[in-house]
Amino acid sequence: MLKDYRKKYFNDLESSVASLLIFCIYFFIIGYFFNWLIIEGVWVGDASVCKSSTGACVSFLKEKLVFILFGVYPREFLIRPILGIIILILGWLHFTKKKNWNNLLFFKFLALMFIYILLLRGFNDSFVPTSKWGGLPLTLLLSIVGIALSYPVGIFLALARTSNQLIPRYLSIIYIELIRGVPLISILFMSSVLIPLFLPDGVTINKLFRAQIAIILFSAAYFAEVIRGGLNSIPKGQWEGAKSIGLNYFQIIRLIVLPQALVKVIPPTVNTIIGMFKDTSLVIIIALFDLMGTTKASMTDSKWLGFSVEAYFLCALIYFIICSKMGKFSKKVEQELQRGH
Amino acid sequence: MKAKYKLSSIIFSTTTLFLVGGIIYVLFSQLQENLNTQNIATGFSFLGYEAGFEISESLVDYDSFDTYEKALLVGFLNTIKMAVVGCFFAFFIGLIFGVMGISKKHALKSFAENYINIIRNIPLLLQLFFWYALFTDIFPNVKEAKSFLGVLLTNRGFYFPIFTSTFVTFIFIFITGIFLVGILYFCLIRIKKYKIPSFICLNLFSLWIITLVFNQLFTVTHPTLQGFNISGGESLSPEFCSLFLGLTIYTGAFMAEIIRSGILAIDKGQWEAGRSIGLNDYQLLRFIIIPQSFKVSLPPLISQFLNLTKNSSLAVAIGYPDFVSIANTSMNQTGQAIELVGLIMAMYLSLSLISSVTLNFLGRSSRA
Repeated sequence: MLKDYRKKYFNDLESSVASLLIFCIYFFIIGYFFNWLIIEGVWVGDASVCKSSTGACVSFLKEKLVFILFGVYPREFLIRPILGIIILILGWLHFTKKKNWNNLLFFKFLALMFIYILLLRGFNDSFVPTSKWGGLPLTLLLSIVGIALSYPVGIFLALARTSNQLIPRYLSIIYIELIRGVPLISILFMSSVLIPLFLPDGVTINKLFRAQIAIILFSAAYFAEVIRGGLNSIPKGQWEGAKSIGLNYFQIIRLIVLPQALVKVIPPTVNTIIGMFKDTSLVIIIALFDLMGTTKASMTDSKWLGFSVEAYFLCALIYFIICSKMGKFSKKVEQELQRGH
Repeated sequence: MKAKYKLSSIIFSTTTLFLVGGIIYVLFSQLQENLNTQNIATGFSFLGYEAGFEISESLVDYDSFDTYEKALLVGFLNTIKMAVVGCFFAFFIGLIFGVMGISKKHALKSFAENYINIIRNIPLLLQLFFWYALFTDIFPNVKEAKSFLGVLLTNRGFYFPIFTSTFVTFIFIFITGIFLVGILYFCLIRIKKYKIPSFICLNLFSLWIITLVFNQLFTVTHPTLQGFNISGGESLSPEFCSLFLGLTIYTGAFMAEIIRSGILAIDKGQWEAGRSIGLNDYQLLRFIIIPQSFKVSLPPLISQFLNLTKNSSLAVAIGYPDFVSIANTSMNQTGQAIELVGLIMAMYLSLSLISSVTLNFLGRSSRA
């Protein structure tokens, strides 16, 4: 064990110097962080104790943890978003198993989404309006509904772009390049300012749905490009073979091409999902309280001013755990697919 | 059989066209109606009106009496400034960490992997907020700031000394450049082993000497505290610094991954052949591996440059006056949402068009 490490890090003079340098950097960062969080950090006590210390204010995080995670969601119903998150974790465990990758997967995902939304929304006397949704459940909601609705749109766009039908092809090329050429912020602005102008009198769409529409429109173009890569990687022989046994275009797509293409592009698809999950944080700019929004809002409490770094660390930790979990899955699938060839 | 297929395809195409056209028509007729009822004037005539808001930093002269057109131009130049500076440094970060990621020295490799892993999995917006909080909450105010080598880090920005005359600054940069090129040449020709360390040492040494000589010959203004403000020297605003740090560190991580996989895509035979003709690791990378890897990694790198430019629009969240942020302010003041969102989109689209044309051109020239 020790020998392994010696060989890894101190094999010759050059690598020893490099290792020592890097270890010094690690030591400095971890030491500083440890000092900040544990030694000088304030774990019990109120704001006045925190202000007199130079370390982290953990009691601020303890005080605000529920707010950062769930926003202004009614406290008596807090069990429901928690239950929703547990269901999502179970769903994640279910979907990442290779034996579950079949036609039913997408419908299971839709069912999961509806259960999640119902849990957040509730019925008659336990109804919670969307304006009170916030924090982590909202971030998850934006990403899940985003995936569920933009993935099929992405498939259609990709099929249109690879088909030999002139007009659908050009329409989809225009759409994809238009969306991919502009930042998400401009689409969010567009959806928050322009969608009301496009609607007839009396019809209004809630702010959350407008942001959701923007996210769907945006990520559909990115999914389309990923799926197009998969469609292009299917060899021509598959098409010809399918045609020769008398299948028509839709049958070929549904039974032969899509099942192969979609599995092939799972790693870039998951990377797109990670990007989308991170991008949902931009809804803060149109004043929605997702995880980032509640983090920022927690700092405006006049009793607890000036502990922004602590709050950002907590928020970053949550994003990091979720994203790196997905990233690890994507890496694992990538290696499996490469071994398959 | 064939004719039938064609007929169905024509029918399909025309139906799609009519469907999409119909949707667009319905939406726009509704838009027209809504605009008429709400008495919103359309058109770009508002660009000539007086803007009436201040912009904190600008590359051209601007004050609040100037027109919206001028304000948007200022924003555009700020976006370009951030994009150029950001792309340059992000590329270097990417190159350094990308090469570190394939190093045989395990510590370097794991360091690069950790950096890529952590930075890529945290939203850029959060990182921007974090850097901004570092400047505004953690760094001392101007009264308590201590200078380090004439450089001041305060909650009002980053201050550094500068030569009094711009002409001298130009000469300084010119002479430094010549020295650095000379040292690079000297390193490549003379010192066979430990090229990078000796290059870095000589560079730092020569920079120190040149700065010392220039300090003696010409007058330098140092940033110093006068009353409640810092005068002298040059400064960068906290908004610019935090946006710059956030964008370069974030995009650098993506570029490092791209460059690393580009290098890994090079055939092993290239490495072995290079070693067999007696090149050391640095020469191998510099002359054989990296030039070839750019053929693979150039398209994703350019799309990362573009991503950086698009991501610079997050400036609106921390108050750096870029194009989107100024367009947003104008939108709130004039209510001309359609035109301004259109302008934002047109600007970014034309940038991406230019870059894709360049990409095609480069692809063609590298293949030839």
